[in-house]
Amino acid sequence: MSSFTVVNHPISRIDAIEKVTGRAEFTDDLAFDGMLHGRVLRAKYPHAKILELDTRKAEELPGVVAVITYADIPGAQAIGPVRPDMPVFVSTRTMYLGDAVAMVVAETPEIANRALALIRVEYEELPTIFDVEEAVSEGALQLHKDYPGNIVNHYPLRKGNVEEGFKESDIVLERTYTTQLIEHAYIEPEAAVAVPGAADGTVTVYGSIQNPFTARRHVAQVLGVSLNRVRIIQCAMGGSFGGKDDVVSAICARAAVAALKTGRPVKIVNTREESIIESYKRHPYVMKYKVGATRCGKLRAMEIHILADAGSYVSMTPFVTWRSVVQATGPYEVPNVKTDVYGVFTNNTYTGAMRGFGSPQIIFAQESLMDELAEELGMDPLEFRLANAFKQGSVTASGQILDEHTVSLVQVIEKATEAIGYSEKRKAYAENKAQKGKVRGVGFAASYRGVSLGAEGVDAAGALVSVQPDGSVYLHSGLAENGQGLKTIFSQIAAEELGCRFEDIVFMDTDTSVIPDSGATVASRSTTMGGSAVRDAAKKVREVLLGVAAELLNAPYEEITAAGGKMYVNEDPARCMEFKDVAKAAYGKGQLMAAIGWYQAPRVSWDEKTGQGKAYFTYVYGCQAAEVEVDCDTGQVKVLKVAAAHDVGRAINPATVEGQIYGGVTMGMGYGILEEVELQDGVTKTRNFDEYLIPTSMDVPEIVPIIVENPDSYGPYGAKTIGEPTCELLAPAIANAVYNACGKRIRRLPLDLERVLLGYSLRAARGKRGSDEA
Amino acid sequence: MTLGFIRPETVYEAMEFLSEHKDNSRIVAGATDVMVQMRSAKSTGHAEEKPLWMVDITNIPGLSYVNFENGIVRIGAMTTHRDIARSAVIRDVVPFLADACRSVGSPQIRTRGTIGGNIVNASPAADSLPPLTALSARLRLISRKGPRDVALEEFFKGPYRTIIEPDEILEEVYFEAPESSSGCAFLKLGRRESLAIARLSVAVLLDVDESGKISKAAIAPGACLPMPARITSAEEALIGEIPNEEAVHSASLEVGEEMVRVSGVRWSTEYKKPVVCALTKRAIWKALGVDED
Amino acid sequence: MKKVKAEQKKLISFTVNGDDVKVEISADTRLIDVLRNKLNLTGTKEGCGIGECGACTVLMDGKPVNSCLVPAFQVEGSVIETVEGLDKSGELHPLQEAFVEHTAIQCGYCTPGMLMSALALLRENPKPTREEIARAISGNLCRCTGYHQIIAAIEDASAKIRLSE
Repeated sequence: MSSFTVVNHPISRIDAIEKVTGRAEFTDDLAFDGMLHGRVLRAKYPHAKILELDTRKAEELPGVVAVITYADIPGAQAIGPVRPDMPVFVSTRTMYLGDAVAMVVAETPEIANRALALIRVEYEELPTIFDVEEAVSEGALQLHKDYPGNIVNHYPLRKGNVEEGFKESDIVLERTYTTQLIEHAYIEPEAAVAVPGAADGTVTVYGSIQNPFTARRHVAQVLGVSLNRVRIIQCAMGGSFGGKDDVVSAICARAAVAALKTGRPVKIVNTREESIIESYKRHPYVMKYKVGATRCGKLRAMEIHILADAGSYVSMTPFVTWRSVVQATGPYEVPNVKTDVYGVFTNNTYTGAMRGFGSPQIIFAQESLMDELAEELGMDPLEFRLANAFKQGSVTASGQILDEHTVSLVQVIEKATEAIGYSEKRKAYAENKAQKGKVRGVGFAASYRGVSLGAEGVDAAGALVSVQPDGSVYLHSGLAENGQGLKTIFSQIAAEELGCRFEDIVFMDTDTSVIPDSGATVASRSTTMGGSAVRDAAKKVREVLLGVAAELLNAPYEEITAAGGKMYVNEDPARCMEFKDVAKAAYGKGQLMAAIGWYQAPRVSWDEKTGQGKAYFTYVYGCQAAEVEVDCDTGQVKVLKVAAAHDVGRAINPATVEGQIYGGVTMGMGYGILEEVELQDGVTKTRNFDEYLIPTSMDVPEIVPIIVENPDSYGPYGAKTIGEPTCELLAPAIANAVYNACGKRIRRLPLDLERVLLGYSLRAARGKRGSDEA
Repeated sequence: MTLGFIRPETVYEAMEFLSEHKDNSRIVAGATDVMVQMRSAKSTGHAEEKPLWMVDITNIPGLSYVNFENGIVRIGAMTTHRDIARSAVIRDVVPFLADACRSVGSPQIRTRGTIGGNIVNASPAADSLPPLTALSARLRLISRKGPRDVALEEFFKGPYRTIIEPDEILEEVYFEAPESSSGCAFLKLGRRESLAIARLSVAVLLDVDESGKISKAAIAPGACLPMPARITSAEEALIGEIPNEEAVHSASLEVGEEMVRVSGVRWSTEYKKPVVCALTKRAIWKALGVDED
Repeated sequence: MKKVKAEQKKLISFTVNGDDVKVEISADTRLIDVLRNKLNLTGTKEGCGIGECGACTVLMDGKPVNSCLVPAFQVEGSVIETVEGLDKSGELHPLQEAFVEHTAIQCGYCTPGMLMSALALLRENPKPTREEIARAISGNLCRCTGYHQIIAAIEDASAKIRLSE
């Protein structure tokens, strides 16, 4: 039984009631007096010069209040989380199909729709690039003038000497793996409402916003005002998965410009089609791996070359590809490593943050490769991995010694593979060489993952705990609920630390005017970073309350425990006070019962030239094993069962951890066998959920979540992370299982019907429809 | 944009309105296709389609039924996929049609979508069409000029195109119930288990005589031909045979060959040809009562 | 016999969660627009607009429909139930309780539609198997949960409803 009162218990979500009753307020549920509706006209061509833009006819349509273009922007024309290169409205040149050319603001969405057809745009089509290899080839068209060779960024990593390493190797394998463009597919499309403030030039923006502080910065820049003139309030979020960041910042900025121009509230809600066309996606990668190992199965060297398709704008590409360079060798000891990761511009839909953030791609490559190499060596893939796996004190590719946390890789691998019956089944299935009918296979994949931002950037977060005179508690956080359960987790931490009851806490929606800038709710950093900040704030308030209780209970401060809504003397628990009575007394004594908590991540480091350094302050380890059935006659892959073992440090709420595992595994399955956004010469072909296929309730396998707890010295109560690791492992586990089942090694995602049957896809991810090997 | 709507209460009223507004009317029943088509132009803010009158026939009583009399099964055009999938008659007499209707879209789509809509929409991937084709179903169309009956196979002109006149209404689809000794199967291959458009499908209806020989065969694949059709060459490969691997194999090959003959070699042929053969083979064995799984 | 006329706008009457309502609609109005914009029943969500995600699922005459695919003119005289009707008595419906207890919610955007599909199932099949539950919600996409806790919640609710009857 847990030694905790509130944390480590599967408490019901704090936002459950509002969500099951339909009362939770999502952005499109908001209405304001005099509210107008914005509809965006998008680019007709992925790369074109705008020769003329005539909005007069649209403006004349009754009910149209304004047509907004780049000319209406008072401040910065372009935004971006790393570089401000994405125009809020394009002025002279479109770079991808989702670019906004103009926006009609009208009394109703229907009128706005009609007016869109009245805007006349004259384009001159420009030459295009849709293929990363073409983009980096010599003499290729240059898409952005400040980026020679269309290279967004290049991360090298050098460890040891790979030439020597390959010489020492008995077996050297070279393989290329490729991943596809995929969509977050949050069920709620992007939305924002901007409301002009009473004071001149102020604006409040409500929205489906993953990162309120990023949105605020972008809106302020576009309006050309200081940060405190923009207030961002996050509404209930209908899913994000990394997806409602810069794209929503742009939508917020458009709404804010329009609201200030018209003096009325302006709402923008994307249709699903617009959402898929406009929003950034997960980067497709082309990954060339060369690996060397000795006959007895020890890895000696790895050389990795990766091209990541950034699409039209920088967005998060430098950060996404940085995580890739850190983790590209997988959780294995490799003495000699040479890795080069490049972000590359094309005219495809731009790519950015998505759950996993540069890891699902490389894990697909490296975990497929481990199975291929084991096969070449005549070794069991499990034994081969265990022989090379990170253990306590191992050194990573970037030279970091793993000795500040429990390195639990072997533990998670053993748990997941045992739960699926890997060893026995693999042997039995491998013997079935029938290439007909339905055959089964098992496979697994393992990973290590740096927690939080690492050496990517500033890493600190805040929280505000405010106890009221009746003992009820407000909790504000700079990190925001995205649907994952942050409000619940943070409230559990606050209640545990304060000693109040969970139900005494009200979690306030994130409001940039209340709480310090805490960076973004990304990188699975909420529990570790934000949770630590909540704990810090709660601890400060608890100390005040304990002081008051000590006085009233006539016992030394350090002998009093606060737990479960009571404060009592350790030696004599009968001497106790209700939490609410302590709060009342403290209020009566004029004590401050509120505190801001702050947590700054431990120091990390990175050398940009060598790729060496302490990349992250701690890591998590995960392993997912899958059993599949392959229909050799149709290419259909059914995932029957998945065992997912994840070391989370400490499960603050085991029920929401399991929820993350179920959901992440399912999303990983979609990546593995179903999902792909098809672009044909930069034009989005998959535009709605009839063509972009995510798993339904009838597709999900049996899932066995295995929570492993090795408390971490940094996170609150030892907690680390769970959101992203759950989503990065299943695709390679499936690919390995498919190989076990039918002997086909598939090095491109997804493993759809055609690719499994024929070995290549007939769906065209890039360029024209047809074979992707052509 | 629509011009407006009308909700006639009799077939006659509907026909009258349709004949007056031939060029700009659209019949609406379950609306699951119409609403999607109406939206497509709006959703991305590009050009609008021609405005139409919506002629809603859901207020007309008596168009939703499953009757089985004198060996003939009659299904009213307004009968939903849900009702067909649950109909005791359909499940008993032509279970493969129940399976096909149960595989349409999702529970919500099956609640609203009708068999008449599925037929008239004429999607090459429509789930109900292969079994209806295998059954040699016929359609009754009505207009002010009177009723006319056409064979299902003659109803289609191409993908999403039929011979129905703008002032005609599909009243019912009917077919002769197969012998009780017959067996049938419908197999659908989609990319996922629900909300899936058929990548390929096939319906098979077979009868075996007392001597154990296949006496009747009907094979109709879906999602690989521009319009529904039976593959007679495949059927002929089976008739007169005591079920055996070789006959089933050659019948299945005929389906693949016919697909290429009719549809030509397309980007998808490389996949569809072997797979439609494999599915056909499975469906034949399933119709014979041998489930390979 | 009176002749039916073609119309552009119409005042339609129907019931929502037991209340009689009258709403003016046009030929383009969808049921979801009526619910969200005219009746302020914003619990019903729009996710795709083409009947592929099920977030807008409501019950029409007891059966689950995608309210984005129902022309409002067809709603005349029908009985509509939305998520707001589930706890109209002031108490949570057993399905809602079970969703809370089983953490069958993450972002919550699909939840109202999911609940309505589950309600339709339990009314006609009080003791569904897990497979039947999965089939009943197979028109409701959820990107967060992987469905497992939702299926467990519906199973649990069915047991509780049976016990209480």
